[in-house]
Amino acid sequence: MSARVPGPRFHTAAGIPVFLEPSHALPLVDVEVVFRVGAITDPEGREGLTRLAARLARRGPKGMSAERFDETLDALGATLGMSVSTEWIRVHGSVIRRNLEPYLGLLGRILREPGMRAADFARLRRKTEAELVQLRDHDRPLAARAFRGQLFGSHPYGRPVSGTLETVSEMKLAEVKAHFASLAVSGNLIVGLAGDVTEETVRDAIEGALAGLPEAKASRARAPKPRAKRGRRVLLVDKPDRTQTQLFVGGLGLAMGDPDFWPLLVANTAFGGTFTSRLVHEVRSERGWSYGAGSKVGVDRQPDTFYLWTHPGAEQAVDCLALELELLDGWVQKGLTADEVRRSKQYLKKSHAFDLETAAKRLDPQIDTELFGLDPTWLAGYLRHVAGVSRASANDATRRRIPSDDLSITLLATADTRLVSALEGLPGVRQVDVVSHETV
Amino acid sequence: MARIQAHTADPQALAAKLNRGVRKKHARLTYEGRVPFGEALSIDRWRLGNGLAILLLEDHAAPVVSYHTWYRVGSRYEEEGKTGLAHFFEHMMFNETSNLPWGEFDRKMEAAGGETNAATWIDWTYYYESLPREEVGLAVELEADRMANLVVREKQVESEREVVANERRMAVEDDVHGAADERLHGLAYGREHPHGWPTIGWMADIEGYRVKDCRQFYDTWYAPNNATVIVVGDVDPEDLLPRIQAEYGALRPSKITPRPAPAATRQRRERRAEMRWPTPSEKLALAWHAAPHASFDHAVLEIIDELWTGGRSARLRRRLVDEMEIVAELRGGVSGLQHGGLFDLWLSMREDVAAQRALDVIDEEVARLITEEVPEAELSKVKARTELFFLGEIETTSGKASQIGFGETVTGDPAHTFVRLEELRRVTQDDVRRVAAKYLKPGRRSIVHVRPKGEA
Repeated sequence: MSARVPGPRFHTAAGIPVFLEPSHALPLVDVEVVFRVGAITDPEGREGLTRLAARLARRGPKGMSAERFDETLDALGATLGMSVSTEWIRVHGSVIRRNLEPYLGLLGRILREPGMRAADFARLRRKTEAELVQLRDHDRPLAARAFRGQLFGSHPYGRPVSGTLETVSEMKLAEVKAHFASLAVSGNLIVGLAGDVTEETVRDAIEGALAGLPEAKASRARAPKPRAKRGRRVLLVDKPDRTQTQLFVGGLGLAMGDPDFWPLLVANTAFGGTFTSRLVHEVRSERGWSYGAGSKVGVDRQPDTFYLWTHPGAEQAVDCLALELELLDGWVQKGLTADEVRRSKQYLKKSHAFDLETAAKRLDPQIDTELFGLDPTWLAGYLRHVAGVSRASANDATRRRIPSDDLSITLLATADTRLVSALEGLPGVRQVDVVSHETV
Repeated sequence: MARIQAHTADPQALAAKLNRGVRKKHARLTYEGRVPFGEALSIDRWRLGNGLAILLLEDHAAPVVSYHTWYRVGSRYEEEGKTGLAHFFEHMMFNETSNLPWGEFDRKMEAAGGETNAATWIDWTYYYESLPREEVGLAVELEADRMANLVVREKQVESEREVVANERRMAVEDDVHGAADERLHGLAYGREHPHGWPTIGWMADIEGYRVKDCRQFYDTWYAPNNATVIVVGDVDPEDLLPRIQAEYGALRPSKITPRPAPAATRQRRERRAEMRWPTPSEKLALAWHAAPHASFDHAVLEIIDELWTGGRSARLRRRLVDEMEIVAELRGGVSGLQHGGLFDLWLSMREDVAAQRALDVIDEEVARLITEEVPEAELSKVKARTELFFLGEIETTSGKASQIGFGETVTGDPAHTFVRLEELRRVTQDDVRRVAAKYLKPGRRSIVHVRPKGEA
């Protein structure tokens, strides 16, 4: 499967790379415009700036009200979203094929000449504040946000992409406009289309949509390499009336292109990546403590997070955490068995067919390769890389990269002295901090 | 659409060939015809002698297969005091069988690179495997085995009980939307009505399941004559069908007494309930009794839902979220059930905003639907969005199999999704007025009002 030939690729006159992944099974096209930088460009104390800028641009171009813009998109049978992460912004949507050209036209206009109107800005700012308040209803995302903050601290990866009530309320339109203008330049963009397209039929429309964008080189903004904090540190996010606990345990993950990526993909799949993996087997299948369980090695331009996630009942939270620490120690110190590594590799190899099932899925690794400046064979050589992982290389990479002594542990639960004291008694725990869920 | 299907040239001849030498009557295959699935694809309908229905759609666009098994049993088939059993079996079915030790189902599936899961609702329970094409035989083997040979003993029941209790804590006990939705269904139908109890079951019932109850449930409903197997993807019927004959052909049908439709609800007046919750703002969960999924009125209600909550320019979204800025989160939906469901809305208010303000707007919008024609351009816009979502739902093999399984189980037509697309296209301005007037009456409505704990 990895030997398949990717779709056509070309550059616009302004040098913007365009990737096409044709599939004519349905009259549908998925469109992505990816910015090569994201929320790491938020200055300290201005968290949420990039996301506000992208969302304000999404409110429509000059000469077209936000309401008219949304009506036009809906009438085209199209969706359009803006997602902002630490290292990228993705403008993404789907459209019925017959309306692709006008859709691209609208997309181009919000990049070239976004309205960025004061009234829209004021409304968006209030909406974002309301969303931050609503986050308190959603335990898992709230715990995940607290975990990132605890792990990365003041590093740009620890700053909340959506900002805080304080930073958002202080944001000014002028800085939001200037920020978007600095990001929406030719050198920062990557374009991808998947679905019912050919190069001949869409090239002019893409060229036309992006013509007139300011020409400038890609942003060189880069976050420094994050550093792990020493010891096992617990953050207890206190929320009333919880019958179960959202639990995150982890440390630093990997950077895209890290040589340990493939061995750790295999190792983590065996540890917490499938239903029969060690973690899921012990926590869910053997004990029934948590309906969901898993572990993930996150990758980004700089090392992202590695974490275990479970949500045990409140009564089992401490026992579950103790078990997770024990499992983590066992994995790092003793490694995986040959059979675990063999089964993980087989699963990754055979399930790869689904990574390529749709045109949109086939497009993603091409975009990521460009975005992170990877060797073209890095993601395209998936099967070869997985096949090349041995038990020794998986276990060596685990020992090198998976933390078990230096861990951030975040629980969202109803705090009481009994719980705090039990957490303090866990092996290696240096400190337990308690915060209200309203402050996350 | 491009043609990506290789039709079996002569299914009757294939049936004759496959039945040659087959002595067991339960294993004999009958070809029951072909159903178009859009312009380029079609479904071949087969049946085994034991009643197992097989719907096969060849799609050679990618080297993968989705294998779905839809059982005509969901939470409405349960009894009071034993609620949640259908969902409980969604878990139990991944445990041991008399042929397969505990954990082996998942180990085999992962070794094959497969993805597997299941879902339960009021009318159905389904299980699926998505596999590389060369592994389809494994799905046939494992699904046939667990249809008949599941081990249902104390140990198995106990091991899943805690997992399901934890799932309920996540989805209901600690989730304001889940808790309000459960209350809403109980209010609209009554807690003793099969649509009024939660599919996951009441916690007390989950804690009280006995092995005998579970065994009886399994023996009754898990049988070939109560199931439809849907296979979509890169398969060859001449390879697949003999495997199905071999694996399912020995299974005996169950004696199933047809289950009458749940009693019609007798609601005549608006019903209201209030909840207190640790939440920063007020919420509203409200619903009107709606139409069965297969009816044209259901299609019209889907249009109204889109008109109200679909895109950013939808009526309620625009007024409540963007213009008045009083609602932070808005969702709508029409449940797709055999015997009538709910047209429901979920609103999370902005902090310190009274939910009544949103309710007033909803009342105004109901009146507007009934008294004013929806402009043709607005109706076209909504239809374009529904077409986009329709295409998205049938993009993958698993998406197609889901649509086929749902259509077959709930409406009796495996290609119902295309019928629905046509119905949505022909909804008129008059249809919207008529259906709004018929269904969106105060007397059909139930409202759960959530207020922050500690608020006066």
